[in-house]
Amino acid sequence: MTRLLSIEDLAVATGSGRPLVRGVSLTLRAGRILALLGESGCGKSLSLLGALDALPPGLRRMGGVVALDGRPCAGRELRGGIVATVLQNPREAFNPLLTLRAHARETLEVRKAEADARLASALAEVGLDDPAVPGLLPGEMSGGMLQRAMIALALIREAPFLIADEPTTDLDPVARARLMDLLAGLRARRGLGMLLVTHDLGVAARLADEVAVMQGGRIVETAPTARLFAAPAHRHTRDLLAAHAMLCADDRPPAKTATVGAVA
Amino acid sequence: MTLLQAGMALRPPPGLRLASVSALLLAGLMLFGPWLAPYDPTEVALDLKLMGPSLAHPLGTDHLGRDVLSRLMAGAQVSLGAVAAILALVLTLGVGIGSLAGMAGGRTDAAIMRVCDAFLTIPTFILALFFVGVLGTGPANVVTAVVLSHWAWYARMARALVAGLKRQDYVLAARVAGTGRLMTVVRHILPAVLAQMAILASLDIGHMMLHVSGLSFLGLGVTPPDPEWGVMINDARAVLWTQPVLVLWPGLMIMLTVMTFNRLGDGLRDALDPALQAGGKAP
Repeated sequence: MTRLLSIEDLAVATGSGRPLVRGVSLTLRAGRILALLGESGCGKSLSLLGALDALPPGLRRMGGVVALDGRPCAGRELRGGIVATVLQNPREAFNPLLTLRAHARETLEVRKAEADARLASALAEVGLDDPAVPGLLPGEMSGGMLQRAMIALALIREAPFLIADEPTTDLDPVARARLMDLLAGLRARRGLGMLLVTHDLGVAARLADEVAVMQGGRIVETAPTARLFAAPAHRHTRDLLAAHAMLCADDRPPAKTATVGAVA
Repeated sequence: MTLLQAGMALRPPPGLRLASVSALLLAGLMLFGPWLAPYDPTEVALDLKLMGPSLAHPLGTDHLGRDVLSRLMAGAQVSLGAVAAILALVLTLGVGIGSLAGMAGGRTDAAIMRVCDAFLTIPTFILALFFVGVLGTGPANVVTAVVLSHWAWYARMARALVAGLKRQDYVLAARVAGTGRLMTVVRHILPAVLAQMAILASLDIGHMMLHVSGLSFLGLGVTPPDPEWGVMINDARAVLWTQPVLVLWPGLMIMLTVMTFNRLGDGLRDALDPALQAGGKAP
């Protein structure tokens, strides 16, 4: 069963018609990881929210087709069951008044006992197997825990595709490495098709099979990872790589803040 | 559950504990006052009029010889009951209409808000007087009038809260996780709105109480001989110089209610403020 999620010619604009994202086409395949690279504000997050018909108030999707195995789908059919989404900024992505368990029950809409069991197994898979975790409020968890909890929540509906928006941005280098291991493991075990939205070149290089580079609301280059890093075709890709190389030249581990600063 | 946690973490200061006790007493009076009263509050006994405090009549009698304590206790039902009804209606109307405007946005929002603005431009008491004038007197009409003159304040507040909350990342997270629109509103938006509205309402109870009593004092609400605190003050006005305590008792009850709920509102605000919860972020 080859599952194929394709986004064709997606466009997003403000209410007054100013285009923010144009002509974005991406293809996700089961078991493959696609990285969407680009600097902050270039429209990466809007592209994926647009594909899921979950744009913030005031923005409109201006066209484009999202198809699952060739069949066009509305965002409503995809959200949750087909495409699981991990939002950036895990601190804000949980209702501060609800425990993790309550979040899981809401997402699953099955009997409570079953929801709790599935949450427990998903939490174990992301390495949060302390039995106290499901009863915690978001304010009682660290950023890294929240990030992993959010991935666990995304996993419990067993969607074949996972979109992760900036999954490593707020993490320290150790947590970042652990998260990359987790994502690689998920792909291997579950055969998930993933879209990693990131401005972290290290994440793209380590995990992705293919990389799409975005600039100013458009995809400027799509290439297999090795080729993109060895022989970048587009000027913007070369600039991104050069900025990254410059930062890593002084033999330090690529610190999170430095990478963000250079690309943003 | 969060309310309970916050309550336990808070260790209510003595003032708040006192206010809780007094709120319970007032609620008890509202529910059971007429049956607890030692005398029939409307029974006229002219030979006993304007008596000072005695063992038989601890608070004395009024200008028609009616027992003041009984009238205070029975009056609680109307005075406090009206406020409870007003609160329930104002919250339903205000939160309902405000949330609709906040969720819809665009033209619906603008249209609803302009109607609210129209209501907000006129001082509430004048507006309430106007509605009583149109609807006629009587307790039910007073309640309606106060509701109509207050809902817009609540609608505006609810709308602002909803408009902010719907942009929260966790609302987006619920959406991309496949939660339906209605469920998202019910689970992630309304609870936060209601918490804030409860605070506003508890601070407003005193204000509404004064409205009801004020309208009754003007002879527009509860009509004599039925007991109500505003009516009692009005009745006692005639004998203000000879028996000033007759104004004092209902006045004290109104003051007690206002102070109680103001204190409770402050306490509720402190308890529900998400900033006080472990690491939580204010919505």
